[in-house]
Amino acid sequence: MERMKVQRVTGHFTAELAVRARAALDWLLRAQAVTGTGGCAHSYSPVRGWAAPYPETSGYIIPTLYAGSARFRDPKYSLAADRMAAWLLELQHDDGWFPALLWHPRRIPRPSVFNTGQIVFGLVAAAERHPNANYAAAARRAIEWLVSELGPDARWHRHAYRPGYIPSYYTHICWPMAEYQTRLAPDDASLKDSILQALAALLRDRNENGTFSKWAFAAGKPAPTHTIAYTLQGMLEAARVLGCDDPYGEAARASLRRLMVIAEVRKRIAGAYDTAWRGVNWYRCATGHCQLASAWLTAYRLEGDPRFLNVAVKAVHEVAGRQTIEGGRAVVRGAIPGSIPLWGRYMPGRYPNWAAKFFADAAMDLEQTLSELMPASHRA
Amino acid sequence: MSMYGSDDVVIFAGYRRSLATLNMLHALRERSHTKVAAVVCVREWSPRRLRRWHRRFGPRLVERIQREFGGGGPDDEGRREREILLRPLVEANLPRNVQRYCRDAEIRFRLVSDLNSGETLQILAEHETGCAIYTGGGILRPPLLERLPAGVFNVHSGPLPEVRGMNGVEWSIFLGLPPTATVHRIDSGIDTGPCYAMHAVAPEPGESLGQLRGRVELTGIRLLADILDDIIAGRLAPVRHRADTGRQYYEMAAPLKRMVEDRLLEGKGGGGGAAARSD
Repeated sequence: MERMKVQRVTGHFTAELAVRARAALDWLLRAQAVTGTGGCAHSYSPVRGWAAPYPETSGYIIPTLYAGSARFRDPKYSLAADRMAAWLLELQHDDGWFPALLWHPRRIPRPSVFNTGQIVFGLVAAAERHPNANYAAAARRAIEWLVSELGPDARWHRHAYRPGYIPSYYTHICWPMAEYQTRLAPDDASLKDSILQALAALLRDRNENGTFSKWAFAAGKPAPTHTIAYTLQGMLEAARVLGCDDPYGEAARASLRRLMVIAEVRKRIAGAYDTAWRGVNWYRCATGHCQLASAWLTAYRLEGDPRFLNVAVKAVHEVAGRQTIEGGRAVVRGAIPGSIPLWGRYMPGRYPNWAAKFFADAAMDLEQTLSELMPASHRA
Repeated sequence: MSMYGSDDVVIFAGYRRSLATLNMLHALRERSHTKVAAVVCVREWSPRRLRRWHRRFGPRLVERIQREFGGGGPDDEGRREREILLRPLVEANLPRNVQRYCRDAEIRFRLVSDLNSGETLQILAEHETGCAIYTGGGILRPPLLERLPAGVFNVHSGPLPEVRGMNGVEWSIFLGLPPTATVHRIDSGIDTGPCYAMHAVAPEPGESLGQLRGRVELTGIRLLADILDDIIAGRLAPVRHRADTGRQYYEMAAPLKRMVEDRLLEGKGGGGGAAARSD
């Protein structure tokens, strides 16, 4: 119903994408405003209300807000990103790490490898916009800490979400490290080497059928598409940024191609998959849909295979239909649910901030890609 | 006389109101000397089929059933496609039901639960035919294909090997290729079998996607009817492509389909050409 209403207004899918991306960005601004800290609230629940600010995802929301500011020529998004980046600087430990979990003034922070990696995305973006501020230095400290935590086997063994479990989706740490290296430290060959060693170690988790043995949150469990996408997009983008398509980019794209075929043949993207590609079909992970869409769009640009574009359109289209932008409760206008239906297994009953972020990323990317394909007379 | 014994052909059909099947029967009568021994049609309302469709279409199941078995459903382009396929039948005053057509034409009509079932193999044994034409009814498995050594022939809407799979017309336009009807032999892959003939179909000014789809399908049906006698007699050599050439495409996302429709309206739907037989 909601999707039909918008389409009558705009008449074009690309224009609808712009409207919905902007709605998601506006929701992120509301999620930031309610915390009073500069950080973005972890999520909203119709039952529990707003959660505390979440450093990890606030970190990678920053580049999304900057991109939104450029796309829509609206400085309010970049100003919000600046506030977010400034807040994150306050949280960084002297050793360079950023804390796990949600922020609370009385919580004793403990280091998180994954969260530190995600925040590097934001620090790099902020450093490029504000070269005279402290963001580049903060990013360097974070990177140095991440490198120092790599074991002799090029894996991160400590400060994990689940102690003792080194997930394959740590490729999504290699990606921001690669962004830092190429954009802020292009002469640091040693750093590049460390990143490639970490990628090589994670590539060994890849099974012959294209799945990764530890891409779930826990051993032996099906992986929500959120962590599947972290794994594949992390490897794909790290390879692209570092210019190392063989073997990392090729492996990631082969897995993405396999998942594309599975999704098309079965006519659904499941909420989760096990390592034999058996899907958990009673729910969809909306966050994962959007992340996969972004990864498929990258694969489309790299290979020119329009089937990647096709499945990305379907994924975004499905999530867009679940976004309220008119009517309904104002507090969730523009938000994206964790799962479809809302009570699905991934973040049940909640609207995570990272779902809105990944949706905005995918929608803006898709809008741009489709606009380039459309006849000039039909461009919004 | 066929290389394989009987000259007769069996037609596989997906359901009794299949316009593709009716047009194929009509085209064969008008253009070919090959006799249709029987039509083997999948039973529309089997629990298995309904379960498969429910998994596939979910809440849009009713709409889909209406489109397949009714008058075309709420989808405008589906209706336009059906109008194109109906036209020859209306002009020839033919029934809109395959079973009724067969009764009038004295062709044996058999209903089965699944084309790959033992029932089908039994029917083929009764008719001693080694050759079939596919106009619908699901994926054909190796045991059935092996039972038909002269081949199962199909019309694919798309240039092969470049555009295999679904929505061949749409993907052709998207890729800047001419919409094309291809006659090929079915093998165990998806549209990977050897090709006998192709005919590019140039979009007409102002033509909609549905109308173009209908015309491509009719073109292919008539092409197959034209060359079937030569195929059966072994006078037409196919072109074999490597199985890894081209891409298998899937149902095109609705926003991309609208883009393709816009291209058609702007006259950028790809060029047609003369018949290109592979001999």
